[in-house]
Amino acid sequence: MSALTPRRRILAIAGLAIAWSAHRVGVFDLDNLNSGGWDAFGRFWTGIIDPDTSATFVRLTIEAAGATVAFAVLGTAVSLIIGMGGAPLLSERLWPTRVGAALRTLATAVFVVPRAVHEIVWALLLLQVFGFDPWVAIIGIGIPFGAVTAKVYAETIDEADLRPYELARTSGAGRTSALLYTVVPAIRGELISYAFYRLECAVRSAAVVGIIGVGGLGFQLDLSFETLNYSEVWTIIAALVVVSGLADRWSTLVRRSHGARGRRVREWSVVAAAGLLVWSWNEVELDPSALWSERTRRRAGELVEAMWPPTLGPDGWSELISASLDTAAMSIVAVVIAGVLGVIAGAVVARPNGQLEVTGVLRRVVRWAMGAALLLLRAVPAPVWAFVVVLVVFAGPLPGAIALGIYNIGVIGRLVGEAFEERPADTHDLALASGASRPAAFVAVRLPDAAGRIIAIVVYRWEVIIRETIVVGVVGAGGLGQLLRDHLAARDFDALTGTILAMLVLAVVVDQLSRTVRRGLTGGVRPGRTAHHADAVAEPPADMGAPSTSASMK
Amino acid sequence: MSDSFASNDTVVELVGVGVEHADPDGRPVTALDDISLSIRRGERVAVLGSSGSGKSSLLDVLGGRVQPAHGAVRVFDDDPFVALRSRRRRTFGRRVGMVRQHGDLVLSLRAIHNVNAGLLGTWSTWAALASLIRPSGRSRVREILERVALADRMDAVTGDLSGGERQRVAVARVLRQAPDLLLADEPTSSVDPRLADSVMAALTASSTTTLVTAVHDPALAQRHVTRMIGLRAGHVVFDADPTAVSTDMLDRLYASNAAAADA
Repeated sequence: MSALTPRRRILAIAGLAIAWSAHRVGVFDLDNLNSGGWDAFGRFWTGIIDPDTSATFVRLTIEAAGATVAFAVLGTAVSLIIGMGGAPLLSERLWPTRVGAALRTLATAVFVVPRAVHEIVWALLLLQVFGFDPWVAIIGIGIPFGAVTAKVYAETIDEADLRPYELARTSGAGRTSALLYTVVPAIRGELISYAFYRLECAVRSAAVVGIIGVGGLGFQLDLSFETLNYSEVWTIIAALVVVSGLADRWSTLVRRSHGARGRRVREWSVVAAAGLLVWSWNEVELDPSALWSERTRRRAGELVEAMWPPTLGPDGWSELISASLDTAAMSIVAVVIAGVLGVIAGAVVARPNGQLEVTGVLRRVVRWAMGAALLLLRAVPAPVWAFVVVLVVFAGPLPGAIALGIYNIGVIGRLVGEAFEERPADTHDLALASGASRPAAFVAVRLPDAAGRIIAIVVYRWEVIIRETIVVGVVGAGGLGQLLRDHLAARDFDALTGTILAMLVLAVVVDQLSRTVRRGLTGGVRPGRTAHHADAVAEPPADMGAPSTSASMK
Repeated sequence: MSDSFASNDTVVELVGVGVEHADPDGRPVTALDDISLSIRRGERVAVLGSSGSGKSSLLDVLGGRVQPAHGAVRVFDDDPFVALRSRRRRTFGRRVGMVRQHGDLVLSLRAIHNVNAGLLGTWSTWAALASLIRPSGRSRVREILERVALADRMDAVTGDLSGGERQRVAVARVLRQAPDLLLADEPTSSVDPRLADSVMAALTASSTTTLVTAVHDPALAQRHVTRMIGLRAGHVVFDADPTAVSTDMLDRLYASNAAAADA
């Protein structure tokens, strides 16, 4: 009997899990195909050559795009406030005392929930409190993004050189002034880069959150889809691609500029972002008093009371478990679709960095086209892809999984492309110079070289996708998201809490599995800071350099 | 505990202090063994000895970074390790300044900001932020940097400075702090020899500041300090006036262990 190494065991279990998931969501069931929908599907795609360019609709689209950008900018601002406030509490090295450790444990527990609950769920809950107010989108994005930012910022602090901080502390400096004076200047670049990555994510998120009725491009897209006006749909998709593409470009520019140029780029970007913040505030006519108004407080109180204690829905455990299994299966099918196609797309879209790679005009055109296609895939929110897939696949978990897969090809393709670009091409060049065919050199050298990073990206993406299944569920594509929507429609808030808790459990389980799989397959390669979304593998804190038997801080 | 003090002039008092490190294999290694000494206000003490003799451990104990396994340490009539982890941290910390070998500088900040970091112990958060935007006390910082021959680099980014220049910025920072007790661990190790005397002169300029510094070069120490302590394998080998320290004593201090065992 061949030895079952941990690696093989993981692969075998993964294979079984994928087969079970495919069966559960009905990948092999041809009855799921709606042959009557091909006509509408065709009309959707032919709409691409005939977008609605009437002045009224273009103006409406531009206004909606403005609202989406404003939600994203203000949501990012909220997340940065939460992130900067939470990071010192979550840092393992800033506060190495018993009080600090206790606070950290508490803060870690408090920050887990907002991370695990998707922004659309936050928005749905906030909708009950604020009604159709911009704050729904802004806080809905700000809470989960803030929790992630706090975690990433805490890791950034812990990885920084803290000796100046410790020296300032021993010479009597206060915690806050020592942090602001000696640590923040040293990690400023990383903090700013990550903030712009968050902004990029927030733009996509703002479009999704809009779908529930708060406004912006997501809302317009939902309206046009419901009236089957595909010309309008493509005008809005064009706007999404432009807005999302600009955000991507800006974020990449900030993150990938180094040295003196990087400093200059970051400084100007911060100034521009501050201007954008002021503009956004005016654009959505934000009213801070809504946060504390008597109505808000009353409704928030009512909602909390209605949501507690959590209960099961009318159909009890079997319904909850079945929906949880559907969600798990959907996430696995989606990650397989996105992983396989995303890696191929990533290889195509990566900028050649070797001496002997093809650099002709055709290659450049193909690369550009693939880049545009990936941008389209991730600029259009997953629920909108679900609307499209539902035209040809009967509603249920399958179209939801496919839609999530399609959307995430756009994300994984981009990250994998960057991963290829960051690997030195020397060995690949050597193989080509020795006469290897291009496909052979790719499969034998380039792919294995980047494999650790790629596996980390794809498996890590699973953690994000499990949270995103809730989004496609909310538009009726099965799983816990659909259950959540049904409970909300029935105003059954106790059962809503039960469903959210099931979601939390599932998210935590997937996080653990993902960590195990990544460690087992790659030895713990990190997916890179920008691939962080909900969680990250924390590296053990470096030694603080205080020797002696009893140097542990009291 | 204050009755253990010989007089109000005593700044540092060690009684039977022992420090143990763990070596890379986890075995305990004695860094300081049964050290007893006291230092009075205004003294400039050089601690000499080869690497591993316990110089840095002595400074770590005085700076409250390390708690001795045996004995008692008093700095300004307080236990430095305890004081820095108590409510007295700010008042105690302001009085003790440190220059460590790797400088502890924020490399992304300009030199002037790193010098001003010496005042963090007295600044509020707002004052710290305000100074990051508009450095406070430019003329005072320039004056201090002139003493370590670095005034022309005041607005340079610290990360762009050479190792020796960075070390002088660290010295300037502690001068900006103007502590009552100044602990310096080989403050001239990377400094150009021509400038080492200026740095030592700057560190010893104030007659009210007590200085305890580990020094590599005995001749340099002899020119600037009022007392020299020789450490070898965690023991005090000599504790004398600089004029009384002979070449012979120094030879024995730095002799290899094998040679010492033969003698």
